[in-house]
Amino acid sequence: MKVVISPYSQKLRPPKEKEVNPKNYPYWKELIELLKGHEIIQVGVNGEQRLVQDTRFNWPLKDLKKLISECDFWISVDNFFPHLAYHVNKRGVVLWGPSDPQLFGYPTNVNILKDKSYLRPDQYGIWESIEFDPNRFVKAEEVYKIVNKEFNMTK
Amino acid sequence: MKYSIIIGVYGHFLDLTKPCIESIIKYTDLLTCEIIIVANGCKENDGTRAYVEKLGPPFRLLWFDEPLGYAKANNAGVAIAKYEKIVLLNNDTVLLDQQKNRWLDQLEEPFLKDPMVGISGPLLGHSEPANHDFLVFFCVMTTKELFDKLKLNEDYGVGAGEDTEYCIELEKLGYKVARCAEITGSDNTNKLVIGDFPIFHAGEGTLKELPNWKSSFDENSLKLAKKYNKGWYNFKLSNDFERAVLGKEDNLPENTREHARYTFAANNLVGKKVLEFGCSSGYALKFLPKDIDYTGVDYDETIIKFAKENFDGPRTHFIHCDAHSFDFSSHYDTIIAFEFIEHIDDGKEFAQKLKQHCDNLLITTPFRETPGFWGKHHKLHNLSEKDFPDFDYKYVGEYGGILDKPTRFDGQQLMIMRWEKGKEYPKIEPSTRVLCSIATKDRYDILSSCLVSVALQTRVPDEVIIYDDGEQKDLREDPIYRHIFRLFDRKGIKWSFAWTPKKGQHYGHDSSNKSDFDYVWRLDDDEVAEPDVLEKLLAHMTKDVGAVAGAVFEPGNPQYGGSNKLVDIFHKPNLQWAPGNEVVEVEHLYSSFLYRPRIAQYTLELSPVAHREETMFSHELFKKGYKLIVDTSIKTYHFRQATGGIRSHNSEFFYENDERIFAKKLEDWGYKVISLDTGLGDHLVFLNILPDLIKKYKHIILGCCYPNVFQGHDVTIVPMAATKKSAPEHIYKWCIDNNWKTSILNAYKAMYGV
Repeated sequence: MKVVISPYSQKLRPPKEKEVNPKNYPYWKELIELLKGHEIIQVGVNGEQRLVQDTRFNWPLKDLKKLISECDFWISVDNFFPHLAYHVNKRGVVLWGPSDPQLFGYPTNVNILKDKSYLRPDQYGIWESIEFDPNRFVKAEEVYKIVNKEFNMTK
Repeated sequence: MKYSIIIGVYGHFLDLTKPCIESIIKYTDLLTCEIIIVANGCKENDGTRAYVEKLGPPFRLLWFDEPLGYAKANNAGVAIAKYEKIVLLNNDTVLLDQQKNRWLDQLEEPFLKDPMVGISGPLLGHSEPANHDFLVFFCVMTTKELFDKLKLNEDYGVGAGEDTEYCIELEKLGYKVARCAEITGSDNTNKLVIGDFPIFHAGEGTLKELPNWKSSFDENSLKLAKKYNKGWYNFKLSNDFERAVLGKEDNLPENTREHARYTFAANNLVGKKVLEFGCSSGYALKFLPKDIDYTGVDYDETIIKFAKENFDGPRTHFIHCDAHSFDFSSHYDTIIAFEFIEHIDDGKEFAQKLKQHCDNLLITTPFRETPGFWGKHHKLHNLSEKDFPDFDYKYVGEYGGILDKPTRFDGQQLMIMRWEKGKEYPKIEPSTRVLCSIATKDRYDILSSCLVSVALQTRVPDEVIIYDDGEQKDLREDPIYRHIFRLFDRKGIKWSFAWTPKKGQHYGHDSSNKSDFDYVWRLDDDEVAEPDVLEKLLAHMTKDVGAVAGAVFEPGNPQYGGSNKLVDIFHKPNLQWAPGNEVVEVEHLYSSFLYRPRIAQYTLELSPVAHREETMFSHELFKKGYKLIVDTSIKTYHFRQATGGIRSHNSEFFYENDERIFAKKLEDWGYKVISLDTGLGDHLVFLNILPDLIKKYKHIILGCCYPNVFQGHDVTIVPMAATKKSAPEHIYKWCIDNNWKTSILNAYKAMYGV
C-alpha cells in the first residue's frame, strides 16, 4: 500500500537546543519497521530527520494534496497534515499526545490517543510550558494493529 | 509813514472783531494809520456798526449787507484805502503785549531792507495744490500800488487760495515774498503766539463754520492746481488715481484697460441713445460714434465740470448726481457702466436693475479683486461671473486687449460683460465659498510654509481656520506669522485660530464640516500646496462629486503604483503619494482634499492621533453616493515631520484603538479584515470556512503567515503585520474566552458567524 507519513510538527518559534516538540511521536522508527514492505513516503520540511528513503520535503501544498489523494492512507502527528488531508477528503491516522483530538481532530480519521489523562490541561494555551513526554503516546505495535485493522493492510 | 489796515468782518463782533480792534487801539499808534472795517453779511444790530461808528476816525466802516467772501471784501477795503502800505488783517487776531506799532514795524522792515519786497508777513505756508510757498493772509503787508495792479482773485469765493495766487503773481512780476518773523504756531488756550511776532491768530475763525467750507476749500485747491500745478490737478481729478481723466486733447495709450473697454463699447454699441454711469471726464466720446446722444453721469461734481469743459456738445449731456437718484424715466439703447458698480454697495443688484432701462448693457468690473487692491473706493470685491448672471463675459488684460479667459485672479484684469435684451443666457451657479481647514500640533515652523502656500493660491479660500491642538501660542506678534497674517488680510482671506481641546485633529475638521461653506479644503500643517491647487480642485467639483484630491507626496520621495481602493489600503501605497497625469474615481482619500461639508461625519471616537480619520470620512462620502476624484496632476508637497502632529503621541494603544474602529467601519461597509496569526494547520482549518465568509462579506482582507494556502480564492491577501492591529482577534484566545469544547473548525465558524 502507498502510505504517506508526516512525522513532525513545527514550532511557531525556533526550538531551543535539543528541545523536542511535545506533539512529536517518539516511536516512528518502530512503526516504520512494522510497515516494511509498503511504499512509505515521508513529507516534511528541510532539516527534519529522514525516516524513509522516499521523502518529499518543502513540497507546495497543491502537490502535497495530489500526493495525499493518490495514497491509500496517511499517518501523521498533530500538525498541518490532517487538516490538509481533510481538504482532499482522505482518511488517515493521527497519533495524538498532549492535544485533544476532539478539539483539533476530525472524527472521520483514526485518532489514536493513549489516555485523556495525558492531554495538556490548557488545550488553547501556549506550548512553551509543555515538556516532551514519550509516555503520552501509544506504542508502535499497538498503532500498527489499529492501522492494520482499519486499512486492511496486506504485505 | 501811514498804513491802511483792512479788516474783513463777517459776524463775530463780540468774540472776534471787538477784541481785535481793542488790541489795535492798545498797541498801535492810531496817528499812523487808518483802520477800514469791511463789514459784510453782519447783522445790523450785532454791534459792529455802532461800535466802529462810535470809534470814529481813524476807524472807517464799509458796510455790505451780503457776505462778500474774503477776496471781494478786502478788495473793497483796499479800494478806499488812503495810504501807501496796506495791511490785511483777519478779525480773528489779537495783538499781544508790545510797544506801540511793533507789529507794523516788523511787517514793514523787509520793505525797508529790500525795495523788491512786494509783500511781508509773519507766517509762511506751502500750498500743496499750487506747489508754492505763500504768506498766510491773516496778517500781511503789501503796497497799494501792487495791490491795485493785482487785486485778490475773487473766484475763490469765501476764501482760501487767493493769498497763494497773490504771492505767486507778485513773484511773477519780480517782487519778493518776505517773511518778517518766525511764527511757528499759536496756542489757542492761552492766546499766545509761538514765535517772535506779537499777535495771536485763532485761524479760520469765520471760515470753518460755513456749511460747505470743506468742499469750497477743495474746490479752491483744484482752482489753484489747475493754474499752477497740472500734476496735482490731474491727480485730484482722478480721485487719487482711481479713474482715468482725459481732456479733449489728451490721448489714451492702446495698452490700457480703458482703451480696451471703450473700444469694446464702440464695437458693441446698439442704437444712438447712450447713457454712461461713472463717466469721469466723458472721454468715452473719443471712442464712440459722433452721431449719438450721449448722457454721462458721475457723482463727482468736479469731474462733471471738467467733462463739460472738455466734451460738451449739442448731443452731449453731463449730469452730476448719485446713480441711485438718477431719473430713469427715459429708455436707452445702450447703457455703459465701466468700473462703476464696484463703487456702490448694491452694485450687483444695480447691474441687474439697469437691464430694465436699456436694450444693450455693457459693464466692466475688476475680476476677482482682492479687497483693498484698488484702494478704499471699492465697496465690492472678489467679483466674478457668478455675481452677474445673464451676461456674456470676456476679460480685459492688465495691459489692454480683450481675453476670452482670465489669466489673473487678483483684480488686475477686468471682466467685461454684455447683456442684450431678449437673449437667453445659460444659468450659472451662485458664487462658491471655500473654507480652508488646517489642523496643526506643535509644528509652528512648517505651518508657516503651509499658510503662505494657501495665501498665494490663484483662487484663494474665503476663510482659513487653523485648529491648534498643540502648544496654542498667540502668533499674531510672531515675526514670521505677523507677515503671513498681513498677507491674508491683503488677499482678503479671513483667518482665525481655534484652540481645540487636544483630542485630535478630527475635532477641528469636524467643526469645519459643520460650517456653512460650500466646500472645505483640508490641509495638514506639514503640507505645502502649489499655487493652483484649490483652483484645480474646484474645477472638478461637479454636482455628483463629494470630494476631490490631488497628489500629496514627499518631495523627492514619491511612491508610485498606488491605489485608492479600500481593499488595498493595508498593502499598497496610496494613489495620492505620487504625482502623475491621471484623473481617477477612487473609494477613499488621503490627508488633503476639497470636500462638500455636512454630508459625511468625522469619527469622533478616534484617539487623539485620529488615525484613518480622513479614510473613514471620505469613504462615507463615497457610500452616500458621491464620487471621489483624484487628479494626480494637482500637487501638494508633504514635508513629513519626525515630531509634532500625530507623531506627538507615542502610544501604540492609540493606533490600535483607531485601527479597531477602522476595522469595524470596514466591516459595516462589507470589508472583513482577518488576521491569521497561527500555524499552517490553523490556516488550513480556516480555509474550510472561507467560502461562507466570502458569501457573507463583499471583500475579505486577510493578513496571514501562509498566503499560499489561499491561492486561487477571492480574498485580498496582505502581510499579517498589516492587519494585526485592525483585527487582533486570535482563534485560541477566542476559544479560551468562550470556554470552547468542540472542534476548532466549529470554533472558527462560531467566531466569524458562518
